[in-house]
Amino acid sequence: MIIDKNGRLFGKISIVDIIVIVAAVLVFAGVYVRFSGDQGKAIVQNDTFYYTMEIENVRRSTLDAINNSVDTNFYNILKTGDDMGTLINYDAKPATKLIEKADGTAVNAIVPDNYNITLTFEIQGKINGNSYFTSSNNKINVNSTYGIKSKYSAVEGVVTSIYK
Amino acid sequence: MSKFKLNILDYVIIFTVIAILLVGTFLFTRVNKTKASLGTPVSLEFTVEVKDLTETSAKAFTEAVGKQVVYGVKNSDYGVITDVVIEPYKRLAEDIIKGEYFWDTYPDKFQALVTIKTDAYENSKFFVGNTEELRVGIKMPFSGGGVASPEGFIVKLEKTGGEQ
Repeated sequence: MIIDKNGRLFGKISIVDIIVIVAAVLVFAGVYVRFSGDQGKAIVQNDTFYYTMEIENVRRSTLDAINNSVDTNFYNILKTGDDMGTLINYDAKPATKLIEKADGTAVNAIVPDNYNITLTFEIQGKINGNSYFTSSNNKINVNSTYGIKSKYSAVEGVVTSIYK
Repeated sequence: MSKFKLNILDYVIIFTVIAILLVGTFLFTRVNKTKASLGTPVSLEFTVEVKDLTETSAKAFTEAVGKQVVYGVKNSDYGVITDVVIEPYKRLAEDIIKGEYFWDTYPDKFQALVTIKTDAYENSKFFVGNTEELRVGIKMPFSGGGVASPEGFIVKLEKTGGEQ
């Protein structure tokens, strides 16, 4: 019989022991996959690409800090080791916000003293077919929000374009 | 008395427990003071915006100039309040007739711009006190000298001196 009356597989090893060993292997494998940054896909090409990020409705002090951050590196706000590229340019415009007027129409009204800023980054990352990754194998996607930090500032913005 | 014998399952469990203890010890005892060892000593002043104060609280902040505070969340970074500027607590208001935004103030409420001087370290990636990274746009709680601010953000950061 496959499992005897004592719960041993082929009379040799306890089925409970097998379950525990399998569980332990799965835990270690899960820890390795989670912390190794392995996305399960073959990243085939180290390359330089560019992306733009929009940050909205920030005050003048943040704009000044962004200005100080040109030609410096930005990093993922949670992981300093995850390089998000070098800020090569920015374009600041007066911040706008939707307002609904008394007559029911909506307009984009300027928020005084605040700015919307488009940041352009150059990044030494990785490209795999249609996907773009940082050097730490974290994906960069259009329409995704990222918290990033430089030596002088921390901001949160949405990626609006990626190109080579 | 029967001899205590270990089987393979016991070794798996022992190894797993030891691994968890080692990783946990490493993660919880790792001290960010390694950051400090990576930088050049500098003297910094950063300004925190503290909002929604009563007149009495605002007065208390002005009386805290010259007092020592602890900032950050790790209770190991110290600075001295060097300046406090009190102004009316601003709010973004809507004119729904014209479809415009404008800055208004809350009646009888104030905000304080609290400047704190601290000894820090500087490298290419960040400014750091003893353990806390400092940059415009991040939340920086502080307390001391009879006042506290759990929610203020850094709005300004500048070096006041180089190597000590």
